Amino acid sequence: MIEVRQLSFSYGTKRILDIDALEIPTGKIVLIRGPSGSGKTTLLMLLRGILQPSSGAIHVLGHDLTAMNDRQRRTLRLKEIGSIFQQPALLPYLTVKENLCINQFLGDKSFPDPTDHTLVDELGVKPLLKRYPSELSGGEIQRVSLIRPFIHRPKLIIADEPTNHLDSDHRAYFVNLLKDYQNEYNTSLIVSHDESLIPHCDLVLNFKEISP
Amino acid sequence: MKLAWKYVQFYRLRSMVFVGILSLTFALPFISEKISQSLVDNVNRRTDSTPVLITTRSGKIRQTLNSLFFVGNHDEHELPYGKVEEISEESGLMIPMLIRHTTKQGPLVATEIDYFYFRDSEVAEGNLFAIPGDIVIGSLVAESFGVKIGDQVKLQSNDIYDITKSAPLKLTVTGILAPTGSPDDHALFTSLKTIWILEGFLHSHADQDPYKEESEEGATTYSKSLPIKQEITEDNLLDFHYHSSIEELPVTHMVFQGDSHKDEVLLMDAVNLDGDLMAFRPRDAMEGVVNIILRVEQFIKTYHLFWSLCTLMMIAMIFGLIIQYRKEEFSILISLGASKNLLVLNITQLIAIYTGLATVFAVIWFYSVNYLLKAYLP
Repeated sequence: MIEVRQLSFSYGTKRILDIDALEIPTGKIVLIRGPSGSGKTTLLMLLRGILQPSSGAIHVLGHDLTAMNDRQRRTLRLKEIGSIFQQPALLPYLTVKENLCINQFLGDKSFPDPTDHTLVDELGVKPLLKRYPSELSGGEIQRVSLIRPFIHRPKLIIADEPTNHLDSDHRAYFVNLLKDYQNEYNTSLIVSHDESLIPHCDLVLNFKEISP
Repeated sequence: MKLAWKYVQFYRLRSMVFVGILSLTFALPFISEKISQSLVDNVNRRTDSTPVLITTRSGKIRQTLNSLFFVGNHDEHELPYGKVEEISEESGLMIPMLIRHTTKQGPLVATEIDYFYFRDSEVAEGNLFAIPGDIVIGSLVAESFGVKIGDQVKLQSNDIYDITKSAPLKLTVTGILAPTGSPDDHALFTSLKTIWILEGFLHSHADQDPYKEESEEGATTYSKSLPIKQEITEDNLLDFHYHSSIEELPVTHMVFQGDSHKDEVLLMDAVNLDGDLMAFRPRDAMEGVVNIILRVEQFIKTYHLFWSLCTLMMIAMIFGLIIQYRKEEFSILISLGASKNLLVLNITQLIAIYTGLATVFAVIWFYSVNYLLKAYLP
């Protein structure tokens, strides 16, 4: 469950985001759309606890983010949220396996070994585990970055323009992955301009640019 | 630390270049000081242990380098063996030296047995030279060329343009000197008689002599080019003979250690009055050289200070660029759950790894140079 009340975020005097109330029930795939500058990405950063709101309350997975300290928010991010980025975002100096369990390097010692994960097998990533990203093809990189957020079975997936770098095959696979994930686990929050995702989402939120 | 180490491992080439530059920056001031200090110590130790040098009149520095360090071009100047004793009869130890030949293994120094007592040199293996044809080698000559006692060393005259010269003489190694940390370690030593033989002042004739001619009157004569025996052995030792007085035979330098300071001063005065010879204290002659070395060291230190500042600024700039270049990566890591402190720690660890490796390499550089100085400084 994600709950936002009277949320406001500003950079200096510039208001970036205003939300009176938003509730996203557990187990839903939610698409957030809107023009550039409407605060979509800012909302994702607030929900991850990277930014602190200027005012208002945010509850994510039962945690009051505004009441948590930086360390607690970081732990929440590390253990309970999976992030998908616009770009593949694999670290070039880590092997595929190390990239899949990057959270271990960031302090999550309980992060599972990705070697025997179902997705690693299903997407044919197993033979790639010891390779570096520079040794992979474009398709292989897409597959690795797709499964990375799912390895530790987080309760919430937050994706920012996730289909930007995907070809049609991988886009379809991504949608299936989200649905499987939804059935098995929990909530997905997607910011995207990709209209092909609309039919697969339970909820579509349209953001508008804030008038000055 | 693991993430920083992974970064270093993956970008190993750029890391090696970086560590190389950093290690040289760390090591160079110590290396330059070590080199100049070793040179100065080396020069001072040698010149301090050689009270007075007597040579023909020419550049004192060159003569000192020639006679004490066995380096530089050997000129044709020579003084007769008995000349100094004619000029001065001050009491002390007079050691003649003849240094104008080199071998493949190093400079060849002809002298008398007293030289080794004068330098406190001892043989580590074998014996000092006893008869013409014996040769004693410095410790580094033995080490570098794998020469052993009983081996034969071929010596040739430096006059390579002289087609009438004698064939190479084979000399037998009878002893290896203990290391002294001085130019002696790089040299080969033999008796003056051996070199005089080499130069043709003393010689023996081959048994089968094709140049022997009998005149009509029955007198035996020899052609100008006498074939010369190629090896000095106990059997033919007595065959070598003088064609001139030993007092007239050449040496290139004489080292004098007076019984007292007064003896040395009087000898120098007497010799310096002679038009052809000069006597001087090598320490005084080399003082200018030592000062130049020290000035160069000072210059290098100052230069290095500026260089270090430039390098540090460059390194700061490189790290700035690295951080800029990795900005997106850091933002991803923060999104995944890294704290800013963790990223600062990551960069700090990277600097620590580079600095640590550079320090290790700097120490290796320093000790390598130190080893080379000990091994090869004349």
